[in-house]
Amino acid sequence: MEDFDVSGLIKEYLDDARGHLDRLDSALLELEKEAGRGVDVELVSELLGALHTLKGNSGMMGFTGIQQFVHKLEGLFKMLLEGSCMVDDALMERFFDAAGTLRGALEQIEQDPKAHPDLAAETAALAGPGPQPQATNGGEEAPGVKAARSKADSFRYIGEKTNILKVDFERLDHLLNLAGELVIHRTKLTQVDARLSESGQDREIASELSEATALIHKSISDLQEAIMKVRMLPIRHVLQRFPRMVRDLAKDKGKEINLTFRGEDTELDKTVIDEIGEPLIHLIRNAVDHGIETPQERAGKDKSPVGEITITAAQEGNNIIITVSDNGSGIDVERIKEKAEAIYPPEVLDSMGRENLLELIFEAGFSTARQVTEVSGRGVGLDVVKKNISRLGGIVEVTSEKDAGTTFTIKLPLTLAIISALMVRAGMELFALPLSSVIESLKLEQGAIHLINGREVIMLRDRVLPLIRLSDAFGSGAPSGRQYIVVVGRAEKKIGLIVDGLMGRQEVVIKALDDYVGESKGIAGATILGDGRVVLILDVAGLIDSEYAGNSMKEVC
Amino acid sequence: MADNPEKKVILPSSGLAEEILGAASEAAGEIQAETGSEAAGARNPEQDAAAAEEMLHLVTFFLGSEEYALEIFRVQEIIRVTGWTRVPNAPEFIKGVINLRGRIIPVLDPRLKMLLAETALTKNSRIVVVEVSGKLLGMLVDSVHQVLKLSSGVVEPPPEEVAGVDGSYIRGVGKLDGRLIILLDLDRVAGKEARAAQAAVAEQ
Repeated sequence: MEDFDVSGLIKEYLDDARGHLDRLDSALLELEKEAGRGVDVELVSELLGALHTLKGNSGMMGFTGIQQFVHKLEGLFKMLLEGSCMVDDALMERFFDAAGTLRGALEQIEQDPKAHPDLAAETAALAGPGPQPQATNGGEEAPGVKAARSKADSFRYIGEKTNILKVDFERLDHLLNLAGELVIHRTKLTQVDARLSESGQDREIASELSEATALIHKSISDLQEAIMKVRMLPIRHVLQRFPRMVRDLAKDKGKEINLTFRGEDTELDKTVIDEIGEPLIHLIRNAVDHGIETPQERAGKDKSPVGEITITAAQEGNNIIITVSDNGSGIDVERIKEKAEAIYPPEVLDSMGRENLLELIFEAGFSTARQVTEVSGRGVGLDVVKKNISRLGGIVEVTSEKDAGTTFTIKLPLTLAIISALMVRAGMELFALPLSSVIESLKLEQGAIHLINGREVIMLRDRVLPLIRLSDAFGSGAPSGRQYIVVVGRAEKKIGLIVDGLMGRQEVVIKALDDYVGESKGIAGATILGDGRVVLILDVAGLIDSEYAGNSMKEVC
Repeated sequence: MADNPEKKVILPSSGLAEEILGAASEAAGEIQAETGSEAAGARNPEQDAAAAEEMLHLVTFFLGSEEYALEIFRVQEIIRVTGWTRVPNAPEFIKGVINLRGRIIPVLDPRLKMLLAETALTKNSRIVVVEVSGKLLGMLVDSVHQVLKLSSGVVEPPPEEVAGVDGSYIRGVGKLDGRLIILLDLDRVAGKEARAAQAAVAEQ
């Protein structure tokens, strides 16, 4: 467990660490310049931030030598802040030496990723009361990295090139917006092209225009795709935080856990990367805390004392499937049922199958943990996980087998920026329905609608399906002519949306609605169509919640 | 003061708004240049500088029969009304959202915000695009009238109420040739926080 594989991260670590050292260097120069005027608190605080990150990253990568060295260096800067030492030439020299030492250590790692630079001597020197050159150069048992470098070498890093560019995400977003505008203009061009072709005049020019339009069409699509690619990051960025977390939690609990990743190079849009961390933390904590048993318990069950937690990621069409599985104790369905007795009448519980009972763990206030622990089991968690994931347009499911383990499966769109949508008409208005939540659509037959408790429902394959009239819900005018039902949702939480027209599917770029227009229940955002019209994107999870909020569990099942 | 109401710029009633505003600003610039050179002969430069500082550069528009004004630097552009997309459950004064060259911006009806009677759209209706705390926002107006300069000397502080409008939405009232120009406090009119105040007024 101590040695999780981080070799894939070394390049990024080095790049990042060098960035921090560059900041250290420039801050030191600033500090030296201003030495006479006391300590610039802001500068040193910022520097401490950079050092802290460097320390954390080094620790995570297992470079404890560097970690301890940076820790000592931090201590010196903190003393500066507290005023318990003064900026003088000797101290500055020590700081610059320290930066050099760190660069040397990074260089060692770059040449041999397996190297674990031992900076014990340097660390001791750094902490000493004054500059102690003997300590750094003398000891033969610890040659240290500094001795290995010649003076000329120490400035070589200046000439180094970087292939990684850090760009403000907003700029990329702006690029995507501009590409979106191009798409709109392209539509206009296509219309002109069509009109010219129809008019039958200037056939030669018309065909030239057609050709040019087709080329532009392709270039714009390529451009859009390229921009989307730039926004993609491997899910590794999120996963790399977990080995440390699992290790610490496992140690706390006296458990032995082996964490493995599969498919960590699967790429996701940054918008999804940003949001997926929180739900994963919950799931992994749950697995460590409630899933994996202690070595003694496992031995009693004839299992290997080391528990396994596996996280996999894979792309499936426009979705990413992430699973978090453990080979622990599994979820005890009987215990769920016991807990549920306080909430649901017995006949409802009896009619629920195993799967439905398992689903209950996503309900608010449900926790079967016998002990409330610091890590999880506070009765919050899985409901939040589910809420967050459905907010992202995804779903989460659970399967579990007693004593064999539990698997959570998360299905998320690859990007939150572009979705496939079914365009529907309600009254005079168009709406976009995320295709990921559309199950099927059917014609609304005369007399098919029944009333139960004043609510409209239809029977669909012997199941009761609650209905929402979109034009009523959004007050978009009277329905006209033939109507359709679009079944949305999943599993047992499905509803039928009555719409006045199905207008085909389309890829749409999601734009957030300004919070100025308020929290609009049932609206996830808006998009701009090829003809420049703004169309609202429906939030299916929100619609379903509002529908089910007023209903009892009985109707759901 | 040096302001010369004879030389005000009349905005064309139609045409691309950016062009309107561009042309108007240019013309207004000319006025300033002329008044500037006049003044240079008549006064010493210090006085002149003081006078220039107090000059308000305004875009005026109509809501119903009253003429309102916003400072020109808050106005990004003026566009024709080509419809909007309603947003269900949005506050009443939000008419909906529009596409401004790839950006989706809300359109606000200042009449509804200031509890005035709503008027029907006409061919003169315009959306004045303004910037409020870094965000773009459309304001629906009955027609855009002119770009003019007003000396702050002729602007009086807001009374409790003008033409049925609560004084808190108003920065001042300018008098020009017997015309009454109401200077709106854009941040208040466009501000979200004013919703609570509006609710309170409605309750009364």
